[in-house]
Amino acid sequence: MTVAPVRPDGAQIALVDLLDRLLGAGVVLSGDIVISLAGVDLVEVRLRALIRSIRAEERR
Amino acid sequence: MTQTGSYLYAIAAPVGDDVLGGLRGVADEPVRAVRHRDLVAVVGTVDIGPDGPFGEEALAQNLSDAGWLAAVARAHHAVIDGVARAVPAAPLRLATIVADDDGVRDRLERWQDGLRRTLDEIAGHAEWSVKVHAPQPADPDTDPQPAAGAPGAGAAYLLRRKAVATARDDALARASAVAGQVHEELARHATDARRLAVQDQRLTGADTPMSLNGAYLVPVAGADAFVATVEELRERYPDCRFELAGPWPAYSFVTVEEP
Repeated sequence: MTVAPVRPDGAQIALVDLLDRLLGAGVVLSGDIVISLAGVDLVEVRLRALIRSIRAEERR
Repeated sequence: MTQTGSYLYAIAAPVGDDVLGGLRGVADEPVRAVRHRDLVAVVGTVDIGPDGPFGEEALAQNLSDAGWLAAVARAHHAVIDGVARAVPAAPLRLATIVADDDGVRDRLERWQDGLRRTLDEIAGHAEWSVKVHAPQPADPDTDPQPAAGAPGAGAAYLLRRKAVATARDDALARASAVAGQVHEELARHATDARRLAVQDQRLTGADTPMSLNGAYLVPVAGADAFVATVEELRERYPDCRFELAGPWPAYSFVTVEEP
């Protein structure tokens, strides 16, 4: 395995971009997981309204 | 009674305690390394009891609380970002919690080949985001409008409505074509590239629809060239609005399939 490339500091990630990635991508574990991702999936349905309100808060 | 679980942030190459020591997790807990062979899972201990914020019912409720979700997402990202700056790291989705560290090691054992391959692919790389927004539709209103009620006013109104719709369609078609060209060009400067679903205009708060939400896995050494390419594209398509962001952990390039 290749080790230790140093990644430079990134700019602040916008919340909408972060949620895009944290809920939609990433390594997905399943099996004996205590809290299933179903919890997250349920939430995704309501996510649009949520993100909109988050954005409104960020603008304030 | 307190019941705890192991909350997973990332799976990474071996990482020193000097890196992990400065990080705090989603419950403001210290994070630690669970080692298995040459892989490390970065985890924190969270309360998953019925009264804890990560208990099954509480979590479902908390995740639909915008403020809570935002804070947890930021904290989750901060840990991953801190690790990814030091070593190759594959981020995990939000709220991935297993029963205990044995469960973590079990996963590392079962997925070691896929995880190693993933870490090798993203080593020395970072994710960049490039978004393209459609141009403003051309304003078709060049002819003076007849006064309402004047002869031809009704027909002129319909014509104008049609012209507005056509201008909007033209702008969207143009944006779609530009998106394809931009993505193709940037993919040539990246090790891997992916088109994510475009974000809803109501979420972005932008004046016009998004036509490209691209994610690009770019070598650290090639970052300047990648940014320069984006600037060239911005100049080539001045009517479209570009958004460039990064470098971030390789969120969009770490899918590991269950064997």
